[in-house]
Amino acid sequence: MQFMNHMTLGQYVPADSFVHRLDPRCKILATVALLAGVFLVTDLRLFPGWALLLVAVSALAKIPLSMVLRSARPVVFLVLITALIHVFLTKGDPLWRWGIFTITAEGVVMASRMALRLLFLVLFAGLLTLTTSPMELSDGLERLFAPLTPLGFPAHDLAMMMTIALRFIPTLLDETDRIMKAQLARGADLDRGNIVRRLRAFIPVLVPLFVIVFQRADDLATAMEARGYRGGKGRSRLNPLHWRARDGLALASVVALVVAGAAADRWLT
Amino acid sequence: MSLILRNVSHSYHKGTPLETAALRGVSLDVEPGQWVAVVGHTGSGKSTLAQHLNALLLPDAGEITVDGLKAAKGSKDLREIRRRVGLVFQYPEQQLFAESVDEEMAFGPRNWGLPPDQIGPAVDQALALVDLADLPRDRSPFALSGGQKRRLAIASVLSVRPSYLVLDEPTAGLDSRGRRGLMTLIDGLRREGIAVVQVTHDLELALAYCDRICVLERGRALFWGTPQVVVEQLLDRPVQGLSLPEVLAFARDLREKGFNVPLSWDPYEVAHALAKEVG
Ligand SMILES: Nc1ncnc2c1ncn2[C@@H]1O[C@H](COP(=O)(O)OP(=O)(O)OP(=O)(O)O)[C@@H](O)[C@H]1O
Ligand SMILES: [Mg+2]
Repeated sequence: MQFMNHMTLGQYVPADSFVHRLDPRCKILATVALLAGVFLVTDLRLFPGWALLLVAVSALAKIPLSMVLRSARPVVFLVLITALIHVFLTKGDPLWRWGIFTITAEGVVMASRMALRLLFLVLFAGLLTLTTSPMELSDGLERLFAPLTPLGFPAHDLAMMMTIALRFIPTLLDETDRIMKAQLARGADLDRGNIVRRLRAFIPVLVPLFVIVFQRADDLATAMEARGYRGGKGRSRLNPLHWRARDGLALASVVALVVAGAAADRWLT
Repeated sequence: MSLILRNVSHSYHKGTPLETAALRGVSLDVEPGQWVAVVGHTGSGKSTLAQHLNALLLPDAGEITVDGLKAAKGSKDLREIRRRVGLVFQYPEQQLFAESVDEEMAFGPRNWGLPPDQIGPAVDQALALVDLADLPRDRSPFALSGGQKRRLAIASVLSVRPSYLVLDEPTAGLDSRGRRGLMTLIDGLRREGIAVVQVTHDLELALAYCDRICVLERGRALFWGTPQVVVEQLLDRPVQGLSLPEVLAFARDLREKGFNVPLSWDPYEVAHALAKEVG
């Protein structure tokens, strides 16, 4: 029984590929462009383009498509709810009627659009975290936000917090898995009964987890201070980022694609 | 009546690029009252094996039966197997959660549906088994010392009277006195008729205390048998990350130099023989 086996969200898969080697800033900006693109494009006929792009980038990153798709698993429920709401609440030509429920052609289009948009959002963001290590990701973000530091924006601290949080997500999932198993071995019934019973059943998992998390946080803070950490001021880096020609080219291609998509959308509607 | 593994294999993250084979065709059996050690280097699959013994993990291939009950996907007996095979994880003190020792101890018996009037005696008995009979029952488990916490956690598994007890690295983080104390405690359990499977990377400890030893290397059960048998095999073929006990290596070297000493890991035995040899 492997409870946390299917959590790919935020998981980095190391590989030696063109996409992995790109500068994290390039990948972050490209992802932002893609997310904007997903919102700008409204015409359903253009959506297969996103799918094509997703397949192409996954292949380029040497990550199996099944793994990329799995990163959307945590939001499937949200996507379904969104789709249902739009199907039933959009006004227009009724296609089908049953009691108080009416489905309209506009509703179907709207629901597909919203559901697919959400899915592509998560999938493109998933591609970023699958191909970029948490370290690179926070380095990239820190550098991208560095110009705001003089205005009082804590770019370094936020990046450090993010690195630590991302670093500890897998550890935390492992710990949760371990404690759940330990309590199961003591006969805990974690997946039966109504919601109140289930929440109560989780107390034996949550209490030890909190104890461990606070212990960890405390140890980490001590360890960082003992090694002289005092924030970002005057801190040098081990692996400075290098923006290369291929990063510019990759980013330009993605932006061009998004602009083309948005233009095509204008023209179609 | 025994716990039997036949050709058990298990991989984590099956079907993904992260797939790791943790067990490859492991076979062993545990008889009532036996003390079995599972020994191996870090990452050799010891903890994975331990979790198979009480059906928390199920094998991808191969067969596991506990007193004739089959541990397989969809089997109705999984819960009963988990009751019969108590599993104590590494650093079990981390699973304590209740407000009092009493509550902590009653968690298991209540989960398994023991009648309320039997919970008290079961808890008393389990606490006595780990030498904690005198502990104030309204104490918070978090206020106990490290060693007491660990023994309380073990007792909380014993409180449902399992026939088998699996301990994953029970001596991790204990000093040599704590280690010896725990070993005496386990020996006492065995006298009560409980079979014990102890996971450890300490070969010397296993040789000194256990009846049977299973040596794992990268998920394979390389050797399996009595300490004497396993030692002979180990002398023939070294195992990755597992060093021979110093006394044993010394005895082997003496024999190569022509001294007639037994291939033993007991310092007294070797010293005696050596004293006789040199007159
Ligand atoms: N939850 C898990 N998910 C994925 N892989 C795992 C998981 N648990 C263990 N593994 C992998 O399976 C293999 C065996 O691990 P296992 O924990 O059984 O070893 P071990 O002998 O107990 O090691 P240790 O002495 O360090 O506790 C290792 O390669 C490990 O990385
Ligand atoms: Mg282990």
